[in-house]
Amino acid sequence: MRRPLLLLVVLAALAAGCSGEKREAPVKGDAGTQEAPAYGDALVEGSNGDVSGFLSAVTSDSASHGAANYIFNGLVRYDKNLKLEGELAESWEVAPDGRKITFRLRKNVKWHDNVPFTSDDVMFTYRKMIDPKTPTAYGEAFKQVRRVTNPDPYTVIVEYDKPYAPAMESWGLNILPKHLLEKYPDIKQSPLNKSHPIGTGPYKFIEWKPGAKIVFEANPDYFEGKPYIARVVTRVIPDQATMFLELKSGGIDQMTLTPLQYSKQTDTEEFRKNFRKYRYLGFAYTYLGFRLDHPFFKDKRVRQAISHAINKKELIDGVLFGLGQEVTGPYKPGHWVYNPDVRKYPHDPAKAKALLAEAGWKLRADGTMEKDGRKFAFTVFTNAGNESRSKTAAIIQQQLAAVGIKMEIRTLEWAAFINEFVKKRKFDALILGWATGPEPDQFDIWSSTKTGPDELNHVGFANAEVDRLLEGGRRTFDMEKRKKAYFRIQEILAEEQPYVFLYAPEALPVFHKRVRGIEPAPAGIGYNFIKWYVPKAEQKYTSYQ
Amino acid sequence: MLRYIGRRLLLTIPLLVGISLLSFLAIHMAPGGPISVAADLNPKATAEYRERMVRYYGLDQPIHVQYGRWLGRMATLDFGESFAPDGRQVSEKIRERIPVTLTINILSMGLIFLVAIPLGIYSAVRKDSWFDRISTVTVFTGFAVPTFWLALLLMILFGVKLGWLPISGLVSLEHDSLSLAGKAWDRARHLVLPVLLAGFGGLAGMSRYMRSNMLEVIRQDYIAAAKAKGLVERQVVFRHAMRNALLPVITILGLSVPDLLGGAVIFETIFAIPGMGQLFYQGVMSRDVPLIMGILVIGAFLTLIGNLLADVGYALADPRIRAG
Repeated sequence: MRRPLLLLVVLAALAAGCSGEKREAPVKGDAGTQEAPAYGDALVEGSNGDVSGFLSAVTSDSASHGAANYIFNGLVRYDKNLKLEGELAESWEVAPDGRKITFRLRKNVKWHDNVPFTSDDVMFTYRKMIDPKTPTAYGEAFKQVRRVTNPDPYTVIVEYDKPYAPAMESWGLNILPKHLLEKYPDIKQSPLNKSHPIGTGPYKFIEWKPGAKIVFEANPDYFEGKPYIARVVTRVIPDQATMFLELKSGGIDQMTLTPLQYSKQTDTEEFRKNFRKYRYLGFAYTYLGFRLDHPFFKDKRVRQAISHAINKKELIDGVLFGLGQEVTGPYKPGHWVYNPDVRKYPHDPAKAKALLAEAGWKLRADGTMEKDGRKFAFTVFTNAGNESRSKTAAIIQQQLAAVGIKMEIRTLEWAAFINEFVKKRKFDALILGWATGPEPDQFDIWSSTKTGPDELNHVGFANAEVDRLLEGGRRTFDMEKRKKAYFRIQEILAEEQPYVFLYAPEALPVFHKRVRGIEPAPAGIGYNFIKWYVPKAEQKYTSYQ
Repeated sequence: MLRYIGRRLLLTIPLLVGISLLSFLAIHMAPGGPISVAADLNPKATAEYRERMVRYYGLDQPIHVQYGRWLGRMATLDFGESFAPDGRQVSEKIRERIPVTLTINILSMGLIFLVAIPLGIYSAVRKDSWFDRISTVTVFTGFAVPTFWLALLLMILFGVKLGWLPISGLVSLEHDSLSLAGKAWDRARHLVLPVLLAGFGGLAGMSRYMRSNMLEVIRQDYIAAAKAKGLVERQVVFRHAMRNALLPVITILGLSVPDLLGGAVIFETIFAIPGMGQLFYQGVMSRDVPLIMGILVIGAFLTLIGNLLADVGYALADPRIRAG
C-alpha cells in the first residue's frame, strides 16, 4: 500500500479531493474553450487505491473520501478561493459571541431515492457522529457542541460552550439520509456503506466491483443542475507505471502524474496532442523535524545552522524535478494566513559553520564537528516506500556533510517507524510530511499539551506564546484576529526552527484534452467538477447522455 | 485405502489448529494494528476514539480469548467480518476474488504443462542438441527476467504501440453491453498477457524437471531392452520412457493445489487484477486479522489436501507405497 502524505485534515478535502493554487496556466490548446458545453460522455479516472467504504465518517483514505464526495454533500464547502460557502445550507450566521451558528437549509433538495432532504437528516448525522457506537475518527469536533436544535425542517441551530472556529469546517461533513440509516445501530454495517450509497450529491452510485472499478451516473435532479459529464468511472490501478500506460492507450482519461512522469515522460508531441497537464500547489509539505530535548538539538543555534546548511532549491530540483515550492512554515504560500515576512534561512554553509561555532562546536582536522569530545553525528528516520522522502534524506546527508555534520539514514516500515520510534520518541530527527488544509488551526501539532505518545507534537515543541496564540486562534471567528495570531506563530516557528520546513510538492493531474472547463484556482481543480464538459463532437463514450 | 485417507484427514485438524495459532500470534506480534490506518498521525483521532475502536474490534481481550473466539467461529465455518471500513464478510471478499485467481492460475498452469512437458522430453531425447541449448536459455531467461519489467515491455508493445491487447484489468468498461460471444472475446483478450507471463516464468522449473526425469529413465536397462527389441524410437520414448518419467509430476501437481488459489501480489498489481494476492497484501498492510486468518486457513487446508492427494495418487500409481 502506498501511503501518501499523512492526513492532517481529511475532511478538508471537501472540494472533491483537490485543493491548491494555480501556478502555471495550462497551455491553451487550439480548441480553447469555445465550444458550447454539452451533456454526455464519461470520464474514466485512474486511482491507486480502492474504496474501503462509502460513508466518509467511517473511512479515512483518499479514494473513499473521493467517492463519497460524488455522492454526498455537506452543509458547507470551500469555494474556488478557499472561502467557506453554503452547499446544503443556503446561508448561515454566527452569533456575535461566536457560540451559536444558525444554518438555513436549501429547500427542494432530494435524496437519490426522491425523499426530500430536511433538517432531520442533519440532526441524525450529528447524533451519529457523537454516538459511541459509530466507529468514526471525526467525532471530536462534534463533541464540542453543546446543543443542536431544528426548529423547522429548513433550520438547524448549533450551540457551543466556547467559540470554536474550526467547527465551521466540520459542518462540511457528508450529511446522511435518516430514513435509510435509522434502523442500523452501527452505520458502518449498513448497505449504504458497504454497497449502495444514497446521497444528495451530483452523482448517483451505480456499481462497485471491488478491486476493479466504481461507477457513478450524473444526478439529473441535482440541486445545482445536472452535471455535464454523464458518467464517472473510477478504475482501480494500483501500479503507477501501468496507470500511465493505460492513460496513453486511452484506457483512462485522467490520473495524477509523478514528478518524473510530468517532467520527463510526457514531453512528446503525441502526448501534448491528446492530453493537458496541470500543476498547482497542494496542501502538504515535507519537513525535517528534530527531537527538541536531544542534547544536540536543544540549542536553537544548531537548528538554525542546519537550516542554513540545507539547500532547499537543490532538494526540489533533485526530488521533485523542480515541481514544488520552498516553504518557510506550516502554511502554503497563498493561503490567507501565510506570512511571507518571516526569518529565512538561505543556503549558506559559512553561516552554518559560524552558528555551530557560536554554539560551541569546533571543526576538527578531518572536517567533522566536535564538542566536548563528541562528534556531531545523528540518525534521521523516515518511512520506507516513500521515494521522495528517502531521496530528500540522501541529499540532506550530503549537504550536512559539507558543514561537518554526519547524518545516518534509517528507513523503516511504516508501522514499525510510527509505533517503535515516533510514538516512543526514540529518534534524533525525522523526515515526514503533513497534509494540511484550508483551516489554519494547528493546535494538535504545536501545542505543548499535545506531546503524549499518541499525540502529534512528536518533536516536543513547547512555547508559551505559541500555546496562547493557538488557543486564541481557534476561539474567534474574526478573520483579522485569526490572521494576526497565525502570522505571529509563523514568526516564532521560523525563529525557533523546531522543523526545517523543506518544500511543498505540487499536485500534477493530467486530463484527456476533450475535457473542458477545468480552471485551476487556489482550491485546485475539483471545485467546479459539475461544470466540466466534453463538446458534442469530441465525445468518446457516446452511449452515455 | 479409505482408512488411510480417513486417518490422514483427521490428522489435518490438529495441523490446521497449529498453523492458525502460529499465524494468529505472528499477526499480533507485528507492530501497529487495524486502528493505525485511520488513527496514526491523524489529529482528529483522539485517545478516546482509539480505546473505543480497540473495544469495537475486540482487541481489548487477552490474546487467548481472541484466539478462542476466532476458533469458535471457525468451527462453524464463519470467517467473521473484515476490519476494513466496509465491514464486509471475509468469506464474501474471498469468494468474489477466487474465480479470478483460479482462472488465471489454471490457465497458466495448463500452459506450463502443455509446453514444458514436450519441451523437457524433447530436450532429454536430443540432449546437448541445438534445440536443447536454445530451449534451456529461453526458459531460464523466462525464469530470471523480472515479471514486472517484462510485463511493462509487453504492455507498451501490445497495448500502446500496436493497440492489439488491453493493458490491465479483467474486462473492458463496456463489457456489460456486449453480446455473450463479445464478452468471452473481451475476457480472453484481457487474459492473454497475464496468463502468458505467469506461464513464461514457470516454464523453466517444469521443463527442467521433466528433462532430468526423462534423462534418468532413458538410462535404465529396460529402455535399452526396449531399444534392443527393435522398437521404433517413438514407441520407446512415449510408451516406455515418458510414462515413468511423468510419475513424479504427480507430486508437483499435488503441491500445486494451494498455488491455484494463491495470487502473486506484484503480478496482480501490475495488471490491476483484483485477485487473492492483492486482497491478502492489503489485509496484511492494514492488519485486518479476520481476513488474513481466513486466507491463511484456506491456504493451509489446501496445502494439506494437496499433499494428501499427491500421496493417494502415488499409492494408486505405485503398489509398493500402497502396501507400506
